Amino acid sequence: MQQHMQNNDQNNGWKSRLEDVNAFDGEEIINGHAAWDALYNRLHKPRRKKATWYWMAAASIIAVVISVFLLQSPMNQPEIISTQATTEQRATVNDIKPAPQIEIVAISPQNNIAAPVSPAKKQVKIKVIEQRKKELTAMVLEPVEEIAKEIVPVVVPGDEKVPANEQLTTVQVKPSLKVVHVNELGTDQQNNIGRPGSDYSVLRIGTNNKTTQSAGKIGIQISTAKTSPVN
Amino acid sequence: MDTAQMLKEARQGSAAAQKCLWDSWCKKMMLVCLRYLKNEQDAEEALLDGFYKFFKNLQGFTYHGDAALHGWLKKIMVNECLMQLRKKNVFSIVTESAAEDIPLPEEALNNLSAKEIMALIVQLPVGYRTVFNLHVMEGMEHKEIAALLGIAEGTSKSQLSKAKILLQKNLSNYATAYAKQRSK
Repeated sequence: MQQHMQNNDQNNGWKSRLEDVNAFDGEEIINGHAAWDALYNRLHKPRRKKATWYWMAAASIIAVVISVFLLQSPMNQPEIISTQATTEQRATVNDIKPAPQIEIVAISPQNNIAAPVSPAKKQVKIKVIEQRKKELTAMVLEPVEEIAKEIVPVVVPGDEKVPANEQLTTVQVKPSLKVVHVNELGTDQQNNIGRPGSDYSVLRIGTNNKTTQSAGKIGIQISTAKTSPVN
Repeated sequence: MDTAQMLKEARQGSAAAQKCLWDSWCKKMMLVCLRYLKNEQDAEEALLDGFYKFFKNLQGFTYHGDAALHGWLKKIMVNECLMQLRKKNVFSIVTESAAEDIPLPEEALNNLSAKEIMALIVQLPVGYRTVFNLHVMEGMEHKEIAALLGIAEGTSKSQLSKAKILLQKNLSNYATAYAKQRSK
């Protein structure tokens, strides 16, 4: 028993020596100050890291929400934008009413045919209108009543649907009739305008010579009449 | 300032109290780490990780004396060392079943200095060394060691017996070399 206890003491002897710092005298086990500095930095300065991560996470969430919002909104907006665009362009066309002999041929409501609404075409429309303005300024204008044309059915290629705003614009001129824009029409001959016996009326928008010359302003005269064929 | 007071202040985040605790225990714990990890840098890393966890988890520790604190700290450090070994992928123990019960050369070890004993232990291969440290130094049972290292109980026993054999061999070599040096 005594020997066993002695053995235990001996056993604990070399083991305890291994854990005794003083037994390693003269040898630096660890550079305590440097290690403490490293530990201190870890203990007392990790909050910044965490905070930056939190901020980054919050910012990314906000970015995701905004991007989702932006991606969704254009899906709903195109119709509105295009409607606005057509309204604006139609408005510019209406503003250019002073151009002489610009014809708007209204088609009977039974046919219900209207102009196509492609943005490229509209740009072309505006160019054509401007070109016509230039051409017509050089021309001597006939009185509106004389030039009144016969109602001619006009079939515009690719006519399918008319946006609501265009219908509204048409209503401004004459509520019961659909308006086909001038640039979609060729010459009278090309379009076979003036076919005898048709029930179509013609709207003519032109400048009054007098007004243009005297006041220097462009006047608009709209007249509707049932006329005989031009030819 | 006594340990209980230091622990209380350290819990509240006092850097001064933490520094006092560090100064009291860092060298002892470094010796523990050095027994498991050959590389000093790895041992220091394990030590820092262990103390970091110690200070962060002080809320859950109830002070019942220095022995309890020492035991808790040692447990944290041993776990950190094992994690380091796993991280470095150096911890591979081949499954072996045959194990002999080999006694430790206690007398020879008692005649050696702490430094010499440490050198002998560190010379052991990582698997032997780990099982030896856990069983002989920490006093863990083979069942516990097997569960901790994810090995069979028999493997733990065989690793220990092989560690003892190698330790005896190294010890005898060391004694011979020492005797030769003395004779010169």
